[in-house]
Amino acid sequence: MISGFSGKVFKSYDGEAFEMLCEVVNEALECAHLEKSEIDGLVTTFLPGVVDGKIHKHFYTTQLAQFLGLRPRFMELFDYGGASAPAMLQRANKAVLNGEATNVLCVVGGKASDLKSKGVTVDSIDRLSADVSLTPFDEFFRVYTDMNPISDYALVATRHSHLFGTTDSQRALLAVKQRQNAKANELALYKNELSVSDVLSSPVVCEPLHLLEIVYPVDGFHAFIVSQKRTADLRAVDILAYGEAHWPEMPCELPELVNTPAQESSKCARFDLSKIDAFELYDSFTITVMLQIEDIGLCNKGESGRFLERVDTTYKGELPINTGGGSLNTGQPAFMSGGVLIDEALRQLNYMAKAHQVSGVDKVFVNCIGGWNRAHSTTIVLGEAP
Amino acid sequence: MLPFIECDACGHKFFYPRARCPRCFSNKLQVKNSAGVGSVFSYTKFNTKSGESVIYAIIELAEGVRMYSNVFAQRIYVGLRVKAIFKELKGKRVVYFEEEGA
Repeated sequence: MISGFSGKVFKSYDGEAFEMLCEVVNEALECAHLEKSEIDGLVTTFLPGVVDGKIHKHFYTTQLAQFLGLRPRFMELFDYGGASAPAMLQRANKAVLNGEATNVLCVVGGKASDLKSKGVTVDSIDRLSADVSLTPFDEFFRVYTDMNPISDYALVATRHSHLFGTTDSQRALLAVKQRQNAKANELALYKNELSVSDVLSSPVVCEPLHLLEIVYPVDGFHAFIVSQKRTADLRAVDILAYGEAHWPEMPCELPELVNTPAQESSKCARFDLSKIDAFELYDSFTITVMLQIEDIGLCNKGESGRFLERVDTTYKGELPINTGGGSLNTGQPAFMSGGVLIDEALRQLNYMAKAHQVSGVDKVFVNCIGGWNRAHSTTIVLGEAP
Repeated sequence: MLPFIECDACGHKFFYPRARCPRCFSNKLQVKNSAGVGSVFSYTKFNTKSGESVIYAIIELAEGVRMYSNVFAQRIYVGLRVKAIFKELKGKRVVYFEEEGA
């Protein structure tokens, strides 16, 4: 059960990452009506450079517990990138159900601005430090001029158009619909009216992907507290379904580029799609969401473009997707947005979404993709247990 | 010479080298020489900070193995037939691709 949650996102946080984190953890504790001394479990995620610009933080879970002043009897570290947050909640919940911990603090986020100021992303940090490898084959793979992760997703978009005729306008439509949700979300960074033609006149960053199809990495943390305790002013939100899958292959070694491990991770909840009230799908790029729409079973492979033309996916529509505008409009903290999606799901379930509230929300389906090569997918359905 | 690897035990072919077959884990691997021709499986185009136009692509070699590379071509599309060329980059021989007819 999720007993408390909080998050803070900044275009650029002026201060140390751990300072930013303390504010968020404090609010999550207040939300859960817990004292810090009652936290006996810690789950978190680390990728080189994304917490505070340091390539490595030795014994990271220790450093985090040290700074926060915790004494956990359960700790776990994830490195699934964007797909970490749902997995963290699942493991924390299992620990609690198993009696390994009572109140587990899950922390996800960091500062993208530290890497951005050095001209790299989490997927190109090997350009900054010879001590970091992206793959076991960097000698044969990283010698080329690329713009990863954008260039790898651009390859996927090109292939999707080649195989299925997906148009630039269809991808742009996804951005337009999410902006309609963002306009009603007080947490959104971008709230101007957006049309398909606005998206397509934004600069082409990496053909065929335009600037307004690409997420903006920011600074931020999200904290979630998992326990068996029902918090008085929150709904008793539980994990109704969970699935995970990892396809670590180099994308060029997969049969096709247009499939993600969401095909497997979502099998845990396929039966329930018609009962889902809102979907939060990882949106590093427009094409990422389109792949997941297909891979979780909302439409057949290749048909997400036509799906977007036909279905109202705004928060008021028949099939709400990325109800707060997604990371495309709220930013991608520390290059990974699992926390943003879970936070939005919890806001919806607890009727905290204010102007962008989906009416009658009982179940929210969250799917997160992680890794430049889409290696990780985690699926989680949140709602009150029957 | 553009090498790829074929597993004698299961027939799996791959470009990125491992000491054991990623499919069956056999160490009965053979390094083979590809003909150095193939086609563009997918591509993207972007400008570097210095304004240079770059094509980044996945090339499917005639032998059925795929790899990432940069392509030097005037026109680019999925299916474009390309051939391997070699250039020196920081003292190392790196394989790139250009249009087959070039």
